[in-house]
Amino acid sequence: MKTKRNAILAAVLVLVLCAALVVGATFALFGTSWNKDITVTTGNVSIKAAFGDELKLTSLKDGIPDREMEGAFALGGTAVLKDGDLTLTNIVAGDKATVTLTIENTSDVEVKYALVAAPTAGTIEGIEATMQKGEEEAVSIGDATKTPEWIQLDKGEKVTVTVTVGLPVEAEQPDRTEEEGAAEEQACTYTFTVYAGQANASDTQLNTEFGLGTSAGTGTGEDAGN
Amino acid sequence: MRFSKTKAIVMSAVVTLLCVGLIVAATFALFSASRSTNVHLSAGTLDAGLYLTARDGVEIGEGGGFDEVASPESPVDLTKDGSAIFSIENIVPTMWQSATLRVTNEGSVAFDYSVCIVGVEANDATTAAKLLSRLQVTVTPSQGQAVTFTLDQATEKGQGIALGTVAATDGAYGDFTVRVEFLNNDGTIEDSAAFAGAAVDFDLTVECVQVTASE
Repeated sequence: MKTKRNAILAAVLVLVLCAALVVGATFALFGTSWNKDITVTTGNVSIKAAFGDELKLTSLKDGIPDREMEGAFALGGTAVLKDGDLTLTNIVAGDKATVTLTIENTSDVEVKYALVAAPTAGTIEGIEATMQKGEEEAVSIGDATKTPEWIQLDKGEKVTVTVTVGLPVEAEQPDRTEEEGAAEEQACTYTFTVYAGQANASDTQLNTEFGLGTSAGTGTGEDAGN
Repeated sequence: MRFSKTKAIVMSAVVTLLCVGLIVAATFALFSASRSTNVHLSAGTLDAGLYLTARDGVEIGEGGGFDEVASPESPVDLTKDGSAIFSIENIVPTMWQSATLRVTNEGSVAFDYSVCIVGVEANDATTAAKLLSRLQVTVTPSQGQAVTFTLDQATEKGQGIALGTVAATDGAYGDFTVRVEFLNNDGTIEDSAAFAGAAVDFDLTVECVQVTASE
């Protein structure tokens, strides 16, 4: 009897141990893992743009173009530069206003910039706006229907360009009828905007995203003079 | 006479019980013999390695230029190297970087391997929500479908991404690629000031678990 009991007890004990082994084994698969870090920080795209202090006026005088004038153009027209806006009044063919514009890349990355001059008030037929970098050929910046030229600027780089707005010597006076009488005073205001984008973007992409090169182009950028 | 009969019956019952007892007890006392044989058991080892084998994408150089990321000349043992898989600085929209990782089997047990994105943290609560929804992670196994999600979805979509199985054979390994991209904002210009100073940090957990016998 005692032997039987011991045998039964032993059998039960074995069964219990086996169950424990099975249960324990389910949660003890071999495995290993590693934790590795990934970090991301953002860069910024920013520029500074400021006009120089001097506005240079030149006119056609005595048949000689681009003669420097003081205070006013040869025939009394005026040019005023204030807060990034250049206002020309009563200019005639050959009158031009020139000012320097310094653009600085204050970003963490290389950028591309483009300068656009857009009339924001009034109109003077035939007026031209150009930008010249050093001795390079001047490029037009005043035609809103054309895409501007994008120029690369390295991180921390500063560039000074010359901006000129005026009427070419060959500009023609608008026709006026006798009823219209004397020509009205003509004035227009141009706003200069420097656009900047990350340099790894294509020119097409930047033009599209800023809405440049269309007559209804709108976009955000740094107003020169700020 | 009656006494003898009764006595006989009782005696018979007792004898019967004794016999049953004898049989029951005898059941557990049969002649027996035993033989023993040696059984050798040795535990398998799950031993794996994790290496960085390739890098790709764009990084901002010292001068601010957009430079190609260089791959390591030889695989980097990430189990010993405590540095991050990669650290993207000055990220701007459309920039991306990727790392190809290799899991090797250096043990005697085949295993399944998977990755999880955990511990996503941003240093600025204000920009966090905006930035996390613009940082896209793509995990691509060497075979099978890539899994793509933004970091704000990591809790739901970035867990237990199964990548494959590495057999317990010499030289066996499995590769996968992790790519992080700063998504463009629907092709519109946006002011980087909205993300000024933002930084995101997260962990990639690579897990290897032994293959279990199929039922």
